[in-house]
Amino acid sequence: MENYIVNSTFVAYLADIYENSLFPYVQTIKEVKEELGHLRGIFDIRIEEIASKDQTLQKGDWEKYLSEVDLSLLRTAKASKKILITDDKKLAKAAQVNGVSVLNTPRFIATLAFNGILKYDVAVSILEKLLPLYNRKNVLKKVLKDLNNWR
Amino acid sequence: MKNIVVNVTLPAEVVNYIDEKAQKLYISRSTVARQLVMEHVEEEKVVHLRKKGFSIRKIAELTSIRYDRVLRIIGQTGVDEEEDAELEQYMDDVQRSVTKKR
Repeated sequence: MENYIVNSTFVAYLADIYENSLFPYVQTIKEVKEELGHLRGIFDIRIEEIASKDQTLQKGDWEKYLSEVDLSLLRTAKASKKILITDDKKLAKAAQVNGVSVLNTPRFIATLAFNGILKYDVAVSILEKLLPLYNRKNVLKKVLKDLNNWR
Repeated sequence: MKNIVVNVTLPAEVVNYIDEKAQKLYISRSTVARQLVMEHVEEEKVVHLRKKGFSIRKIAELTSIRYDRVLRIIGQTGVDEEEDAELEQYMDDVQRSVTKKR
C-alpha cells in the first residue's frame, strides 16, 4: 500500500456523501485535521495524523497563490515521498511543479479498485454519488469511463 | 462586519420572487434579498480569484468565506472544468506508477 496524504477536499467530499470507509488508507497533517474540525464540527476524524515536515520547494511566483497549509502539505508530501490527494487544481499544479506525486479523489478511488483494495461496484457507487457535488465533473466522468473499460 | 443600509429599486417580478421565497421560509423580504446578494457577491469573488490562480484555501483566507463554501461555489460555477492536459498526463503517470499491472 502506498502512502497517501490528503487535503481537506478529500474529506469534505466524502463526508458530504457519508462515506468514511476510505479514511484508513490515508494520512494527513495536524493543520488539515484542525481545519476540518472547524468546518465540520468533527474533531475526531478517523484519519491518521502525521507530523508536518520541512523541505525546500522550488522558488517561484506560484507560492503567492497558496496558503501556509497548502505549502505545509506540499513540503510534507515531498519530504516523506507520499502521494498528495487533492481536488484543488491549483495545489495539484504546484505539486507537479515541485515533482510531488499527486492524484485527485476520483483517481485515488479508481487506484484502490485497480489494486483490488476496493471492489469495482463500491468504487463506482462512491464516484456516482460524488458526481453532482464534484468541482471537476469532466474529470470524474473520465475516471468512471476508465473504470468501466477496465472491468 | 459593519452593515450599511442600502435602498434599491427592483423590477416588480423580482420583488414578487423575493416575497414568495420569504413567505415560504418565514423570513423577511430584506433577509431574502440580503442572502441573494451576498451569495452572488461571494460567487463573483471566488470565481475572480480562482481565475487569477489562487488555491481554495487561499481564497478562503482572502475573502473570509468558509473553505467548504469556496469548494461548493467552484463546483457550482464550473470554473475548474477547463482541462489542464499537462496536469492530467502527470496524474496518469502517477496513477500508473502505483497501479499493479492491469
